[in-house]
Amino acid sequence: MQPVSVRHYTAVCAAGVGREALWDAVVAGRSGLAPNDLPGVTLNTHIGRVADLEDTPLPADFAEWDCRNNRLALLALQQDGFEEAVVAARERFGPRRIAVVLGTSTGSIGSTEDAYRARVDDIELPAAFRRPIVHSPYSLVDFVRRYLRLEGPAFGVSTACSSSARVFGSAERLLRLGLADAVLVGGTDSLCQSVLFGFNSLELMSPDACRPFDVARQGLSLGEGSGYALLERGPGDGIVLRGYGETSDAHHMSSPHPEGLGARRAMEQALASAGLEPEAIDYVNLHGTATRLNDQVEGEAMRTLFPEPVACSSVKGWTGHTLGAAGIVEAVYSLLSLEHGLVPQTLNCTEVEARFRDYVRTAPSREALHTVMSNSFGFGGNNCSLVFGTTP
Amino acid sequence: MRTTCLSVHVEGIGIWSPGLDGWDRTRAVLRGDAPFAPQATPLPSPAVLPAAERRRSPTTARVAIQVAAEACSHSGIDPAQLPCVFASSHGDTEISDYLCRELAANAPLSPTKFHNSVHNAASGYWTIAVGCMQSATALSGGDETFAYGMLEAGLQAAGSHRPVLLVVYDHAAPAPLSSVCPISRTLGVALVLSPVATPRSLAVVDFREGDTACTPIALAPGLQALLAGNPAARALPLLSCLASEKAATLSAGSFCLEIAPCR
Repeated sequence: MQPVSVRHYTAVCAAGVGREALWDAVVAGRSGLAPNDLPGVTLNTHIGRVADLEDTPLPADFAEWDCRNNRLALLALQQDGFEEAVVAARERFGPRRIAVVLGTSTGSIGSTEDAYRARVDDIELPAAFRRPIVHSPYSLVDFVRRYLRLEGPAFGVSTACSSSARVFGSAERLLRLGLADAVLVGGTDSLCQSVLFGFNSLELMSPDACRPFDVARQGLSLGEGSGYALLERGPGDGIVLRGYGETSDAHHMSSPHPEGLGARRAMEQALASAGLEPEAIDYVNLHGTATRLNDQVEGEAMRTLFPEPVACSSVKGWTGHTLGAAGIVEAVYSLLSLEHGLVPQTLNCTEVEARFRDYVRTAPSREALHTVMSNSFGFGGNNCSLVFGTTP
Repeated sequence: MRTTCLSVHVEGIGIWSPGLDGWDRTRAVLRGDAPFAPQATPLPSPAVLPAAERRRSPTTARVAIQVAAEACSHSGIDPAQLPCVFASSHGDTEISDYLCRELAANAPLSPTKFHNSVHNAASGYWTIAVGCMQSATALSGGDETFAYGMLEAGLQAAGSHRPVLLVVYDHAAPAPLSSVCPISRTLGVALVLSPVATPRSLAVVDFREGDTACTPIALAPGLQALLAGNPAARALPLLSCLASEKAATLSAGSFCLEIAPCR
């Protein structure tokens, strides 16, 4: 495919608000995970919670859209001059020529949870909670497109933990086939009771901070996050999306394909669309959730596709698993790695599982990076792999 | 009006809703050859889903899979080879209701119902049922979910030069969610879309940008109520054109769809 220009990007998660803070935490090896303190959730686990969202409602004009997820989405828009970059693009191309494609999995379900808990008669939702838009999966996209006054195609992608990686594929097609001149991609997911108790019911959560690929890993830590990229046609003069792959496992709703076949095919497709051989990849930002099975399967897929070991790491020890936001948050970490020429370590991983020792990095290393891959896999056997690079 | 930027051919159709169980009956209803009689109907139980998955899967997945299987069969294309785009305005509100009730009561969650709560549950069960390892996505687009489903499926078909399955569905919301989720009817619609004409093509659909004069499509009063009670029913004007083999220009979100029959 023709490379797509990544004009601007930013992200927010527990490890930092904006690019500089995220990168400072990488360099300092400082995790955003902390013992769970989410109100009403007594589970013994660690979470990656973004501070102060409780005290920062949306501006009055957007009171109807106010919820934790959209507050987090706004916080990310306000970082690194991103909002200004979108406004400049809107002035340049016109509001109808800018599409909005955002991923989310939780959406604003936390608001629906609150509404049910606030019922007094056990029958109706209290009047104060009857704001239809926050009970819709479209809440995030609807808020962002209205806030930024964009009028092009605007839809949400919700494929669980690959949601905000898949938005890059939709954007590339919108640009290539001429339906838009710029696409705002990204995604937001926020902590809520259903995901904490849900992953707990699946027995996939770690009591301590998650340790991706460690021999003693005990499961994932949940987090929240939000991020964006502004994409345009043409190679530009900076960082580009070079390829992407999208596949299904066709195996199980919540367990990966035992041989990682869907994951491997997504990576193969991403390489093929970029016109690259595996040797061209300098660094792979793994999905690396730190569950026993997920890391095992992803590691085996890496060994098969990259018989010559490639530098790999998972950043979930910093961020926690940000679910529907993981795709964009980790795409941003991948882009930061490219810009800074540094492979981050796999934070909290002290002893890598033996079979993956030549792949998974436990110490940061300065390297000239030209091409990086970012993996995202989700429930329903939904796989997405992205390839980013610097313009040659 | 802007020039055509994207076009696809309709190769197969599937539909399910009370009174519209299958394309044959629906075509007759839309042509005015049969009455629209939406009685209480048992929800579909698609044969393509293995018994265990049928038991575990949420209602929306069964509706979506029923129509997906019909459209694939109609098109003659092996579903394992079709990338798919699933789109739903609200996903499975029965599952959302279950999760929120249990959490409010401090009761434990069922792990199966939790993994069924993802918006891509229907596409997940479908890919498992038919052994499809192709791309499967799940979208939401509010009231314009059908339009954006068409757009993504059209872009995938034209962008990858291969047919794509589109499945759009929404399910009547249970109380108390019904007070904030205006979906009172259950409906699923599926289309197989091809980037090129084939001997089976029923119609060609051109996507056009900008405002243009749209063709008024007269739907029977009962169908108007369905249109108001389910965002997926915004597919009905398009299906009406396919049923009557008439050309029309329809509004769809931020663009228009120009439909011309192939035979």
